[in-house]
Amino acid sequence: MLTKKENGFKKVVYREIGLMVKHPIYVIMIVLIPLASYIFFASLMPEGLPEKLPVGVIDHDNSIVSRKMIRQIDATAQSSVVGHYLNFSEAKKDLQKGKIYGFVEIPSNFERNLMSSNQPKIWFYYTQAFYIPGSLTLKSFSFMLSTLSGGVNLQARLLRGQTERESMAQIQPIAPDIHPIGNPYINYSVYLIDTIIPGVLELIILLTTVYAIGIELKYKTSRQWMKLTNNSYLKALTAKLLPYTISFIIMGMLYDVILFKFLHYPMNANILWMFLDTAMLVVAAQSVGVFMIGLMPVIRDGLSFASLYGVLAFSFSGFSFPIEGMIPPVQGLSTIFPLRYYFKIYQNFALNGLSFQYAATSFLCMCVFLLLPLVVSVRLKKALIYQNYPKK
Amino acid sequence: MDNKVNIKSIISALKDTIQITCSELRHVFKDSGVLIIFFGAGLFYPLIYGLTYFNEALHEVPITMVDYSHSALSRNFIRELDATPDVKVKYQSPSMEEAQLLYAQKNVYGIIYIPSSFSKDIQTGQQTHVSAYTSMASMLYYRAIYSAVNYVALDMGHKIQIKNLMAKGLTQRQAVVSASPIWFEGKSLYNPKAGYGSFLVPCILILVLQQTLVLGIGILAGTAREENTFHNLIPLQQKFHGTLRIVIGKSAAYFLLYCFVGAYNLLAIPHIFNLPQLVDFWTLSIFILPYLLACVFFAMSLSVFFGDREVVFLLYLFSSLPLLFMSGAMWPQGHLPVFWKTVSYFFPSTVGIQGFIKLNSMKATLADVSWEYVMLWVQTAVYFIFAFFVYRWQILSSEKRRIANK
Repeated sequence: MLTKKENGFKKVVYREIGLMVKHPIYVIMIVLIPLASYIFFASLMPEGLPEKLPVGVIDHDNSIVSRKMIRQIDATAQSSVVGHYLNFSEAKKDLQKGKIYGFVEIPSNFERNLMSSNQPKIWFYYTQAFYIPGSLTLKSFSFMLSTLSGGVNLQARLLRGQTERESMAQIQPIAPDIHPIGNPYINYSVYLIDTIIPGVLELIILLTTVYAIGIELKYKTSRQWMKLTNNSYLKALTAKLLPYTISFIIMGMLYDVILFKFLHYPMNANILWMFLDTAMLVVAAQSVGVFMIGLMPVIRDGLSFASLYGVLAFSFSGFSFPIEGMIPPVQGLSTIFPLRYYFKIYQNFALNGLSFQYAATSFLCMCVFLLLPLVVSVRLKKALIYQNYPKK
Repeated sequence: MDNKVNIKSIISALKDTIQITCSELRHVFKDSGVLIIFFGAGLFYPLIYGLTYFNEALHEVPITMVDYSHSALSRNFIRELDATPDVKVKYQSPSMEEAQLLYAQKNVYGIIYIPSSFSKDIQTGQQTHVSAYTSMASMLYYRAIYSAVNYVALDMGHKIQIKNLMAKGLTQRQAVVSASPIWFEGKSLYNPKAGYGSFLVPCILILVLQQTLVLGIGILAGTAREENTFHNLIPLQQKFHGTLRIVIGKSAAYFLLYCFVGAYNLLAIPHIFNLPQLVDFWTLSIFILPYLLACVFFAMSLSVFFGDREVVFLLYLFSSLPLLFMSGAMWPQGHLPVFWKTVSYFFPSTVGIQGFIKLNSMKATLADVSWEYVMLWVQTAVYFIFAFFVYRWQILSSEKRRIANK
């Protein structure tokens, strides 16, 4: 009896591997699309932080000091002066055209007012319609102008006979030191890709799972599949999905190795934790996939539903806009995405280097997803055996 | 005589085309899968994204203070920090260890450390340091904590400097000028409150139009192929063989539907969620016309590559995020690797998003986005021709098989 049971399991596994080899769509889904997305995201932002963003200047003063100031803006890491304008509306036009992300307006008599201690006023403008470049331009301009102003202050103090150390303490009595935990260089690539790549994988797993089961319903081959395990729902399901589980875990570990070993993204714990996190994500996503095709045992409905859900996972993982910042009715939605817990676990180990106990809840939540196939067991089993849902 | 014939043939072509349009519309409304995509996703996504990013910015990020100075000055620092909109001093930890515990338990996203020498340093004219440790789980935590700490440290420092200068006998005006020889201020001309939704949602609205069109038209083409015996794109029973009529007839059906979806996405949604809407109705309409046409013909050209009706999901859906990144909405477009930048121009969404942000969020004129506008028409023309040949090839090969089968 026992050997017969095992054979059923094995038969389903072999049957599935046969299907995977025969239909190129599976190779595309398991290997090509994940690889393409790894390559895409890994090569998309080579600088990590965009440098030399185009900015403009309006120099009403045209003095030695103003020209020196423009050279200094151009010399900063973040900005590159690409436009010299005669007036505000000209510069604003180029901002609207997207040619520059910001500009500085130096008033006439700037040098004279500076020399005669008249505190000249400088305005600078930028756009946050382009969020990242706009914010970086703001940061770059503020830093440059405060350095410049501080420099003039320092010169005056040195002339009065103060030491540099004394002067600096007077100019900036409180110096803020900012320590970004786990991502000291504020690398956007790290911040975005560490969650986007698993998100893409989750989406692919969802779709593949719904497709692999749904296609059996569509072509009415599910009865034959169920027969191999004497209509045992759990055995048939696990045997069918096992080859995908293994393939996707391998693909998942591949990105962990690429990100944390080859690209040296921050990893403040043992990489084995990330392997575990990835493996949990794979199995949880498969369970959600089973749940969706179980809820709607028609392939096109299942796929439409999985697509709607899968794409939302990126927003609700909370890596771009934190969940606590959302309005309360929307916050609750984040709990239904495995990627949310993946992200929390990643944050715990890779960024913060904390121990297991602080991620235990998230691991537990991941495990809850594994129960989803049981929730739809009656409905899905019936559909698989009686094939009583419309084909289209 | 000739003229009459011409007019007659034009009228008959028009009739055929309208008939194809109507029959395609019937197909759409009979297919629940397509309805889910066109109307379900097309109408539901903008709503959910509008709600998700409704709050625009992250306020009152919880932090804890480790104050080893216990002085009036350090308490003042904490008060001022708490008064900023960015952070909220939720805890005061007696030691770094306890602060780290709060951080590990995710009760706080940042720790601010004030050294014991804080007050003494300031009083004796030494520079003192305040350390801020911030979570990098989201860039917005960093942004909030960075700006709050930076602001308070500079502001307090500035006041101290002026007080010291005045103690040396300078007048208030003299002290202010020597503390900041240059006065400067920045102004964000567009999206002034740095709203996250105001920047992201408009991009998504444009992208949703393209992506749902490709998915929906992919399903329709897959169904058409599955339902006739030879698995070809054009059902044989169709009595109009003119490819041009078929392409124009079908695209007109999609275009009509998307005039409504588009109006909902680009007019109603920004209004409901208070998103930037600096463009006037006519400019927007003139710009969106080639965008929708380019998307329709792009989707029709792609539809031939999807064998089964399900495959379009598997092969195309994952492109949404890369497309958002390649549009230049997140990452400055000039900083994309040349290869990906080139790839991005195959998709109408890239120039569509660029143009829309400039018009809608930055009040640019149509002349300012002429490059994007011309590109959209070029894409419309190229994908129209491509769709024409793809459909023609499908019809011819289906005809051949029918003859061979006879």
